[in-house]
Amino acid sequence: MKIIIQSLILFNLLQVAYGESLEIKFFQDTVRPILKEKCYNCHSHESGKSKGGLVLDSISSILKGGTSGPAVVPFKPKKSLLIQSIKRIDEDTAMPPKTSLTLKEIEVFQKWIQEGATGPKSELLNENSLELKAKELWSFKPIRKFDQSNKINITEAIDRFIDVKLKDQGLKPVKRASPDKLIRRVYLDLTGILPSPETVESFVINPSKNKYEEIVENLLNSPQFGERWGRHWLDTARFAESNGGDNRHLFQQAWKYRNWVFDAYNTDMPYNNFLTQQIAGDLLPFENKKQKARQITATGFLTVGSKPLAAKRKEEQEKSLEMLLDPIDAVSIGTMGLTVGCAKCHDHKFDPISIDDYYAMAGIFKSTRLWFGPPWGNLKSFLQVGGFEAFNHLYDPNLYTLDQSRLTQAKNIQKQYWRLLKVQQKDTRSLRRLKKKISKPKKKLSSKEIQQIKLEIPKAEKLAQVSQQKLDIFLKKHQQFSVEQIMAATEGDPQNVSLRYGGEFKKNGPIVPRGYLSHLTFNGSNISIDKDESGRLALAKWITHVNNPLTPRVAVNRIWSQLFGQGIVETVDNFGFAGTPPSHPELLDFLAYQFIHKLNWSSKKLIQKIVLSNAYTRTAVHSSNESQISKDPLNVYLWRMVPRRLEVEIIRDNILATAGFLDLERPKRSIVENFKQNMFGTINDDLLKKSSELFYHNIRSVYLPLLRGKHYNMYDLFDYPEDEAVNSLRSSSTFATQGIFLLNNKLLSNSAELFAKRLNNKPSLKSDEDKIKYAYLVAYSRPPKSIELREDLQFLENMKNSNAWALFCQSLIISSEFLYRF
Amino acid sequence: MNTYNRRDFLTLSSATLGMLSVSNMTGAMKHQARSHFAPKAKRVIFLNMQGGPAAFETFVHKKLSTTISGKQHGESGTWVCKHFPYLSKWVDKLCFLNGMHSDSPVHSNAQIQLHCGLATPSRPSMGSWISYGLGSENIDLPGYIHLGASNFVGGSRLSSSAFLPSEFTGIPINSQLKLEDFGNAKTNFQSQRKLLDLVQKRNKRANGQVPQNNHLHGVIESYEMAYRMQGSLPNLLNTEKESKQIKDQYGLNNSQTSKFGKLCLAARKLSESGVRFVEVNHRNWDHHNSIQKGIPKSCGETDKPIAALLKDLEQRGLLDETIVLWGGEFGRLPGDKSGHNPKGYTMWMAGAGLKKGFSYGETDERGIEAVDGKVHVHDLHATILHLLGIDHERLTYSFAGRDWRLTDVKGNLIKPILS
Repeated sequence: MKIIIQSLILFNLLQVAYGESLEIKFFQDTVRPILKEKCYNCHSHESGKSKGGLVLDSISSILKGGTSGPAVVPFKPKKSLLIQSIKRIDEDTAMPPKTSLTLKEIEVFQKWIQEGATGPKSELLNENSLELKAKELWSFKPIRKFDQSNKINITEAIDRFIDVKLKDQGLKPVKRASPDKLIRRVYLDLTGILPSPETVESFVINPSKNKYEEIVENLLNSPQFGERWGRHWLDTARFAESNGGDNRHLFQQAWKYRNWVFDAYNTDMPYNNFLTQQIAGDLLPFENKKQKARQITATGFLTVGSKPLAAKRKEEQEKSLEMLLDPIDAVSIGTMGLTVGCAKCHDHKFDPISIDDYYAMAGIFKSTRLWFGPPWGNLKSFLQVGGFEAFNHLYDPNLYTLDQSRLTQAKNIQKQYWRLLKVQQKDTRSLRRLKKKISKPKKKLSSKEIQQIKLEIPKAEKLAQVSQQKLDIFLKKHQQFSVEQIMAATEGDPQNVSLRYGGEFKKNGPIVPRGYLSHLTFNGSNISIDKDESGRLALAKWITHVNNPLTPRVAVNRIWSQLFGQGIVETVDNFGFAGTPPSHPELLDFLAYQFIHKLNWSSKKLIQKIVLSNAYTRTAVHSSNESQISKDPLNVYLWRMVPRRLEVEIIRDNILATAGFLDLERPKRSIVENFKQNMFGTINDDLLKKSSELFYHNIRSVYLPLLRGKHYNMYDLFDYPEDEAVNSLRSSSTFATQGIFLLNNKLLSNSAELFAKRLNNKPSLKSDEDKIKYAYLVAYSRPPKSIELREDLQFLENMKNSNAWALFCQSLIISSEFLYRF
Repeated sequence: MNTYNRRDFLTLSSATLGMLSVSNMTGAMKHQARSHFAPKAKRVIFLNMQGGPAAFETFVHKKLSTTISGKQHGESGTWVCKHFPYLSKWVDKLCFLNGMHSDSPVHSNAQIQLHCGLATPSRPSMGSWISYGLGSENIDLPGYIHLGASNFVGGSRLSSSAFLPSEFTGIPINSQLKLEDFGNAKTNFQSQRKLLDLVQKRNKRANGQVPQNNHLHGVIESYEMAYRMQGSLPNLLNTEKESKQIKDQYGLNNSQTSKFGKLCLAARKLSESGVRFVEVNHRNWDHHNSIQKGIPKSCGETDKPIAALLKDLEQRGLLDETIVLWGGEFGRLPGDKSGHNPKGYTMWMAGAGLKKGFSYGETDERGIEAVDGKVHVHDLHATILHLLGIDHERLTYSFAGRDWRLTDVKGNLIKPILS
């Protein structure tokens, strides 16, 4: 509905804007509707068709015409091909092909041409001019300016913005969350791990603001912070360790990018730098090799997406163009919340993004080489397939250094290998040829000739055997030689691509110079792209420019959404017309402005400022308040906190944590590396088996192998995001098979048994009551209420069997208080 | 029961004049049907012949291409190959689509298209769309069940709800009809009920602390549903207790037909119990170079069970309100290699709202390309939704900044096949 209203407004504006000249009005009201109805099916950008090279949706293209020449000669109807066609003078060129225009319609065209064939100049003749849209779209407008002096306390300001709106709405905020709930909340939000009973108890004794600030500070500096917030970014980055779709290509080095993301959050890399490295890290200056290697690793962002690799039948050129959709979407949605990919076939249906913009960005990535890992699993196929330039990025993961000597060594090995392979191929070929001469002779052979060939065969066999042996020995000798690679982007041949009407490879349009979104302009947006560069670095500069209105808004809104469960802009990945406008526009701009100017793009600091606010610390547990609820059922104005289901990784981690079984160490590498590539068909069974084993081990969930389209059952059940596209905010659904999993899966029953053992083995816990109390502290960060204690004792009494305690522990970790963050 | 975004919520509450009580609200969401006009059918059974059956070796005689003998059957005179002795008796009740075509000659892409309309990005399967569109008919069961699911081609994407709420995901059940995590060895049902009672007390208390939270309320409901489903589904999938006559009818006593027969019988039981979309997979139709051996084998495994399913549905009065759909992701080319052919192939439908003993469309004389009565997969989807009372252009879901449809921006209703 909103969309419809918006486009109506636009339409009205357009009428006014173009309503100045009578001729244009005549064109808009009378001529264009006929063109649209009768001609655009075959001759417009919208349809993606340009039969006879002719498009009729802008004045310039009408005047330019198609392969037969200009369609219209202004003031000269008789000389205009368009009139000749619609009058059906020649049967071959009669248009439209099936139904004739009425005499009245033909007269309209004649009159229009007679009077000079005038119409709006610059734009396609759609209702929704892109320029107007760009002026209308809130997110394209510059960010408001705010006081950035030392007087400003960001946390207090946040509350002021929220309180003003609450007052406007007549809403009263609820009280602060109880200390136990608050500490649990902030632990889960900042690290994903539950606080220990001891931590909770000490905070409950002294829940001062200072103590809370100290806890926040410590959590922000724990290594788990990077894993927690890095994982949010991995959702945005559509991260996975295999290609997915029809092609089961493994991304064996994706884990390096994953670790880079975690490290970037832990070191609080400024967000502008964080984005720049991911788009153009290979092009940045560096002080040492270690830094260089890290920066290249960051470009894994461009390559970890799902690509149409299986479209085998398509030509390479066509395929290579289709491969660009993924990085374009990742970059444009990921950083700016704009769905540029929607403009692949036609101008964006809602937003000020033209098809030219898409192909301008496509040029940037067409000029880039995307290394997503070789399609080989062993040295032999590696050497055979090539992809040799990936060697340029050999590096030692422990040292993060590029290893030049290994590169040279690898090049030598490959040279030798090719030499041996060529000999072996030649020998095998000649043997085959000889055998074929007898088995499938082209001409009749005399017995003498046959005799001759039969004599030659053993010799050839021997030769083939020897060269094969040499090859085998060589491979065996070098088997241990492994090459360290990364998924990364590097510069390719700088080039522009031509626009494709309707997104179809064969429907070539004009060549579009590399660039960004032409309708998103700001002070300083004129960043040129050198002809010798892909333009990635320029793109990164443009995206992270202090005056780019989208990037910081999208960034702070994502942070906000993770802390409150909803963004100030609800559609965190869509800041276009199809998204929702901000509920607190000034607050959003304030945060964006201070994020850049005062916090120097520090995500950590911004998170800190927000979690210290009153808004964040409000309770989720409160008495019923009918009038407030009916006024703001979805808590848009943040008068309370709404409980939300934890992400699947966090649920699994904490199930293991209650069992005392969770390992917080980062594993050295990913097991995905150790498995053979299966280009087609199913993913290697051993890999699947191994990863599902790992699922029941104590590894933190963020380090489990992630195969695209092959998620763990629990991940599928608990809303792990679709990893084929940017998906920055998890949804949370509730359905029966989750219950079945929680009641029966061995992750739960085994963990519950360990949890029960933990209780039984703790000497300080003497009575059943002690144990129950401690279990509540572990699982819920609070002691049980007396009614709960009674119920639980009753339960243990009723069960009276050996696994009563395990069942009790299971009941704790499958109840909503455990699964939800309050 | 699931997350509805702000916009949905507002629509819902405005449509019901203000706030509903929590239980009413979740109830309304659960059973809300999104149909647009009176339906002809209530449910679908999709017999997915994975691999791509050759049209001219099964149901269409092509002088230049058919190599397996057969003859005309019934009043409609439909040609059927000799390896479908049971099914051939049903031709006067079937509606053949002989001008099918789709876009991809690659198994997985074509299977994904057959299920989801298009391959990218991940889209919901038609079963998910249908259970989303029709709502639940039986609160003890999910709306979409996928029998004999394998990760052979397309994998879990075939039954994925993608961006639709995950309660509409097809529940995959393998060809042994074995359920994962339904019950466990450590806890018997009584103990589990006690465990669940304890959990539900906690859940209710948590829900009571937070006014108007349909998520927390949903947890309570979903646990009860889980417990009920744990009771209902295994029984429905158990074919052991059926009468001898039914077992014989489905061919359970015969090693050739028993595997697929069990799936067909389970499909009928699930359908009858209110599952909106049941898919039954048979994955052995990829007959490269071996059509002479492959056709008798694949037909032999499926012929009797499918005929039994039709008969069973008819005898129970269910056929008139069910759509049975048979076919694969594409057809095959004539010749020794019998390659993949998405340009012209055959599927058939039977049941509610469809013409009987009717053939629509045809391919050229060699069976290579559909030339008349062409039906694209999108058109098939549009027509199935229509029979279920849904306008395919109006069944939409908002995701990632746009409204999505099963038929994308395509799909035409195939009027000539409607009764």
